[in-house]
Amino acid sequence: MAILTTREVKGVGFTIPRPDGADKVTGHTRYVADLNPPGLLHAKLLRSPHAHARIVRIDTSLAKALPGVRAVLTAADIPELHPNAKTRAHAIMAIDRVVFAGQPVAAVAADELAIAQEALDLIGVEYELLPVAVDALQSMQPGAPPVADAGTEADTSEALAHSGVAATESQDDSKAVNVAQQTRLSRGDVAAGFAESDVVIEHTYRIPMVHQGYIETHSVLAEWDSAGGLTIWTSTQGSFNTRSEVADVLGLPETRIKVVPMECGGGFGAKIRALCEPIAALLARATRRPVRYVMTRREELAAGMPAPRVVMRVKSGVKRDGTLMAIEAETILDSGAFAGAVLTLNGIFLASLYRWPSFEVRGVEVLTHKPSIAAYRAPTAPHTVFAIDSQMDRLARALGLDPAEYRLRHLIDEGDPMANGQPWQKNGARACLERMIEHPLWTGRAEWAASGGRDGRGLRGTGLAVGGWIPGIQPCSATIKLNPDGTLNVVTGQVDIAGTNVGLAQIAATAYGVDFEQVSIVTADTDSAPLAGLSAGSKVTYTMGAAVMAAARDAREQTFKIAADDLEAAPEDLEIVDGRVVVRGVPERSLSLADIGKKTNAFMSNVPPVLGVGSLGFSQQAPAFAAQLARIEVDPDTGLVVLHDFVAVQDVGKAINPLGIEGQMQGGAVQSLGIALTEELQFDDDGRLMNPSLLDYRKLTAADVPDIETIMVEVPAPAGPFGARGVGEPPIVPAPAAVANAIEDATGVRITELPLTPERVALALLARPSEDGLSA
Amino acid sequence: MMRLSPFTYLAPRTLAEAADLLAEHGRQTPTMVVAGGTDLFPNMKRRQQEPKVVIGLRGVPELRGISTDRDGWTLIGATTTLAQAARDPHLGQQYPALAHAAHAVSTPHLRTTGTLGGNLCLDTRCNYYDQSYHWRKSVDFCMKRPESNPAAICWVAPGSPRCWAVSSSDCAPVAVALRARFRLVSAAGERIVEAGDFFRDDGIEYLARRPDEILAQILLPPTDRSWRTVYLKLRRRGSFDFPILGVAASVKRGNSTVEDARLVLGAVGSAPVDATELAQSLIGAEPTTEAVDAVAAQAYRGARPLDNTDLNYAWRKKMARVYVRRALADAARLDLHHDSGQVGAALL
Ligand SMILES: Cc1cc2nc3c(=O)[nH]c(=O)nc-3n(C[C@H](O)[C@H](O)[C@H](O)COP(=O)(O)OP(=O)(O)OC[C@H]3O[C@@H](n4cnc5c(N)ncnc54)[C@H](O)[C@@H]3O)c2cc1C
Repeated sequence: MAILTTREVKGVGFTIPRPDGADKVTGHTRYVADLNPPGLLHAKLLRSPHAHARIVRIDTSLAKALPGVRAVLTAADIPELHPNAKTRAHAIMAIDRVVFAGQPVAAVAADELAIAQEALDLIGVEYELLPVAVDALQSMQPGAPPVADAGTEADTSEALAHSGVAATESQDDSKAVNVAQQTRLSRGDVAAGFAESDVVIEHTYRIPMVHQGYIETHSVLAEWDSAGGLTIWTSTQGSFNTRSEVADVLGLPETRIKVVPMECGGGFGAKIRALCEPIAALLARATRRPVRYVMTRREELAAGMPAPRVVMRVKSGVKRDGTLMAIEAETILDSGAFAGAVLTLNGIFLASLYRWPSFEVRGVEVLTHKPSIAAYRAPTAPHTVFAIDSQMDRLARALGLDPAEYRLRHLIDEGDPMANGQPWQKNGARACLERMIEHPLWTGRAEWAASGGRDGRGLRGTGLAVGGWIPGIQPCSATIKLNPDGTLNVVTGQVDIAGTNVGLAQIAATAYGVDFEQVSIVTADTDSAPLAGLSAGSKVTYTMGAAVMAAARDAREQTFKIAADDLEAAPEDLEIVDGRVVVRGVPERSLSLADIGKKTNAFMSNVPPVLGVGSLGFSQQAPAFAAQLARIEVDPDTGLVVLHDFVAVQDVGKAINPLGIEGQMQGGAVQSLGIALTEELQFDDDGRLMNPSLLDYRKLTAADVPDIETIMVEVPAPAGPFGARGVGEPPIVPAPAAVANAIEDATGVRITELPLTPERVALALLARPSEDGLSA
Repeated sequence: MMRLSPFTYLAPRTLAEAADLLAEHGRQTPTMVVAGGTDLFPNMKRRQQEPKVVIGLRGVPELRGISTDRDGWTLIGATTTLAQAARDPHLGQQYPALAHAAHAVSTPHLRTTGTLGGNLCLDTRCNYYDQSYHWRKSVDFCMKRPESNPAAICWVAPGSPRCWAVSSSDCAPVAVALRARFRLVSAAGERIVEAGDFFRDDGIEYLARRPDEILAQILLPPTDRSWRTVYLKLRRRGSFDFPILGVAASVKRGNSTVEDARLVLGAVGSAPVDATELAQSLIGAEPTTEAVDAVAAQAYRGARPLDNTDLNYAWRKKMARVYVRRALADAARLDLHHDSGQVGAALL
C-alpha cells in the first residue's frame, strides 16, 4: 500500500533503541515480584522429591499451627482438582500419586516468605515409592510404570496454538503405555528410493532436555474482590490465554477473571501456558488476601517446563551425483509427565526442508517421570535441524561435494510441497544461504583450516547450517486514538516480550504519517484491551503489526475526513506533514493534528473523536529462515571447542526496527550455542535433577561467546505489514548443526549427541581411524 | 531464593577477639568463621553446614593485605580478596601462578567477595552433597552430612568406608606447589603448618585445621627467577565453573638443566595430590618433551577422579595426563607447539 506523505516519517525501517532498556538495566522496571499490595501473603509450594510415588498420608497440622501461616492447602482442599488432568496447569497439585520430582503436593501462604519456607518443613508427607520411567525408550515398552492416569487424553492444543500446521495423519492404533501421540508423514516408495540409492547414511541424534533460561522466574500475584472477581498479575506471554486457562482450571466464567500482564522478564515459550496462576488464586481465595508466588531458580530448573528430550534416527539415501532419493526417520519426543509437544513440525522439517521425492517419518510423543515440557523458541526445530542439516553435511562430504552448494541444490522453494501436502509459502531460506556463502569466513574456510594444527593451535574448522520455523498466526485487534495534543495512543492486549512495542509504534507512525515519538503503545489488561493472541510463534509483528497498521490507516482516514471539512478540500488531496494535515500543493492551507484532536474533545463540539480500529484474522503463514556459520578451533587433546567467530544471516521480510531484530538474532544465537555446547538437564536413574542451579546447568557466559555478526536479508512476506515476517524463533535453530559441522570440518569426526562436550569430542577423536600413523 | 536458617552473627575487630569468640562459642554450639561467605552461605542455605554462631572475619584489619618480611617471605592476610590477590603487582611478579589461580576462581562478582583464606578452606564438593536439604533427604543423605541417618553411605562409591568429596579450590594446589605455609591462630596460641600438611585426603575431615583455629596468614617463601610456576585449570566455560582439574607445576632451572621440580594436582581427590616425587625425575637434565611425557604418564595414574563432578571421570583422568604435560612443559620453558595438533598425541 502506498502511504502518501511528502517527507519520510521516522517510522518503519528506523533503528530505534528500546525505550524500556534503561529502566531494565538500572532495576527500575517493576515485575510481579516487586508488587507489594497491602496485606500481601507469600506462597511456597512443597514439592515431591520423588519422581514417582504414591502419597500415603500428608500431615499439615504442625504447619497450620505455625504463627504467621494463613493457609495450607493439599489436593483434598481443592474441589476443582480432578484426576486425568489434561495439562500441567490443571494438575494444580498431585492428588494421590506424584509423577515427577518437583510436583507440588502442598501449598502454604504466610505473612513472610521465611515463615512459608519454615512451614514447608513442618508438613509431613509419607510416600510409597513406585517404579520410575526416566528414559523414553523404556517408558514406551509394555509394562512400563504408567505416567498419566489411565484414560487421560493427550493435550495437543499447544501444538496447534504454536504453529497451526496440521498433520496429514495421526495414528491412534496400538497406543503403548505412556505414548501420548503418534504421527506419520509419508510419500512415495521409500524402499525403492533406498534400493536405487548409491549412498545411504544413517545416524541417531540425541538432544537432552534444556531449559529456556529466562531471567525472571515464573511469578504471579492473585487477589479476589468482594464480588467474587479474580485479578491476576502475572508474567505471561498471553494474558487472554492465561485468562481462558485459569477459568477452565478453576471452573470460573472467563470474564470474572482479569489478567494484568506485567513486564515479562523472558518467556521463550515457557510462559505461554498457565503454571502457578491457579494455586496462587486458590491460596488467595482461602485467605481472602492477595497472595504472591515467585518460583526460585532451583524450582524453575527442577520443575519448570523445559524443552523435550528428542531422539531421532534418520536414514537418507542419495545417488552418486547427489540426487535425493529417500529419507526415513523415527522421532521419539520425551515430554516428561504431561503431553503437549509440537510433533508435526519435526516431521515437516525432516521430510520437506529438502526436496526428498520419497519419505516416511514417524514420530511418537512419550511420557516419562520428569518435569513436563513447554515450547522453547521454535519448539524442537533446533533439534530437528541438528539432525537433517548434519545429514546433508555428511552426504555432501561423502559425495565430495561442496556442502553449501549441495544444500542450495536441494533446498525447497516457494510452491514445493511440504510433507503434509500444503505448499511452502514464499520464503528466504535460499536467500539466507546464498548470502552466507559469499561471506569471507565461508570463502576463506580452507585457509582457516590450513592455519590449524600447528604452532600451538588446535584443529580449525568452519561449519554452516540453515534452518527456520513456520511462525504462527492468531486473530488480533488494536485501537488507536488521536489525543488533544496531537499524539497517538495505541492500545493492545499484546504482551511485549521482545521489544515489539517499538516496532508497533513504528508501524503506526508510518501508517498514520507521523514520527514514532508521537505514538505510544499501551499494553492493557484483559478487561480493557481488545482481544490479542499469544506473544509467541514469532507472530507479534506479523499479526498485531498488521492490526495496528489497519487501525492507523483507519485513524488517518477519520482524521482526513475531519480536516477535509475544515480545509474545504477532498480527503484524497490531504497529506500529513510535520504533524499538520496539509492540502497537497497548498501548504498554507493546513491544520495541526493537535487542533483536530482538540476539536474532537471540546465541550459542545460536534466532531467525533478519531478512534482507529484494526481487527484482523489471518490465513497465510510466512516461513522464516536463518543461516548461521561457526568458525571454531578444537583442542585435539581435550576436545574443548572454542568459538572464534559466528555469523547469523536471517530473512526478516522487512526490517521494521533493525536494532530490535539484531537483538533477537544475537540472543537466539547465544541460546542456540548453549544448546550446542553446554546445556543439559541431567537426571539420575530415579528421575531426580542432578544440576538444579545455574552453576551446574551451564548457560554460556559472556566469556564463551564471540561477537555475533548479523546480516539481514529481506524477502517480503506477502501478508506481513510492510512485508515483515517473524524474526524471534529462526535464530535459535541452526547453531547446533553449524557447530557440529564445523567440528567435523576441523577434525573429521561427527558428533550426533548434544551437547558437544569436550569428552564427547575427545573420545570420538581417539576412536577415529588413524591417518598419520598415529593410532589410539 | 533459598533462605538462611537463623544464626547469631558476631563481628570481632581483632584477631585475638575472633579467636576467643571461636573458642568460647565453639565449646557450646556449632560455630564457624566466615570470610567472604561465598562458600559458607550457599552451604548454609542448602543446610550442608548449619552453624548456630557465625564469626565474621572481614572486620579484622590484621587479616587483610599483602606484605613482605625481612627474610624475603611474602605474607598474605587470609581475608585478602581473590580480586585483590589477582591484581596485586607484587604477587603478579613473584608468584604469578597464585595470582592466576585467584583470577581463575568463579566470576568477577565472587572474586570481589571471596577471600584467599576462604578459598584454601573451601568445603569439599560432590554432586550428591551439593544439593538442597530436600534433595539429599530424598536419597537418605550421605555420609558427609548424614543428618538423621547414621547408616548414610557414600553415593559415589557406595561400598566405601570414606567420603570422596573433591577438593575444588583453585589456589590450594598452587599453595602446595609454592611450598607455602599457613599461620593458624587460636585462643590457645598459634602454629605454622606446611600447606602440604594442611589438606587431608578425606572428604569430611579435609583440613588439618582444628575447629578453634583461624587461618590468619599465608606465607610464601622467597623465590627467584630461576623458578617458574604454572597453574592450568580445566573447566567448561570461561567463567563461573569450579575446576574439574587443576595442575600446578613448578620448575627451577639452572643454566640448562632442571634443578628442582614440583607438581600438584587439584580437583582429583579430597586433597591436592602432590606428585612432586614424579616430577623430580626431571632434575639434573635438560628438560625434554619425552621426559615431561614420562612424568605425565606416571602422574595421571595417581589421579583418581570419581563420578561426582562435572563430566565423565574417565575423560577427566585422561585430561590429567594432558594437563600435567602442558603445565610441566610450560614451567620448564619447553615448547610443545611442534607436536600439538597430532590428535591425542599426549594420550598415546
Ligand atoms: C558459583 C560459584 C562458583 C565458584 N567457583 C569457584 C572456582 O571456580 N574455584 C574455586 O576455588 N572456588 C569457587 N567457588 C567457591 C568460593 O567462592 C571460593 O572458593 C572463595 O574463595 C571462598 O572464599 P570465601 O571468603 O567466600 O569463603 P567463606 O565462604 O567465607 O568460607 C569458606 C570456608 O572456609 C572457612 N574459612 C574462611 N576463612 C577462614 C579463615 N580465615 N580461617 C579458617 N577458616 C576459614 C569458612 O568457615 C568456610 O568453611 C565458587 C563459588 C560459587 C558460589
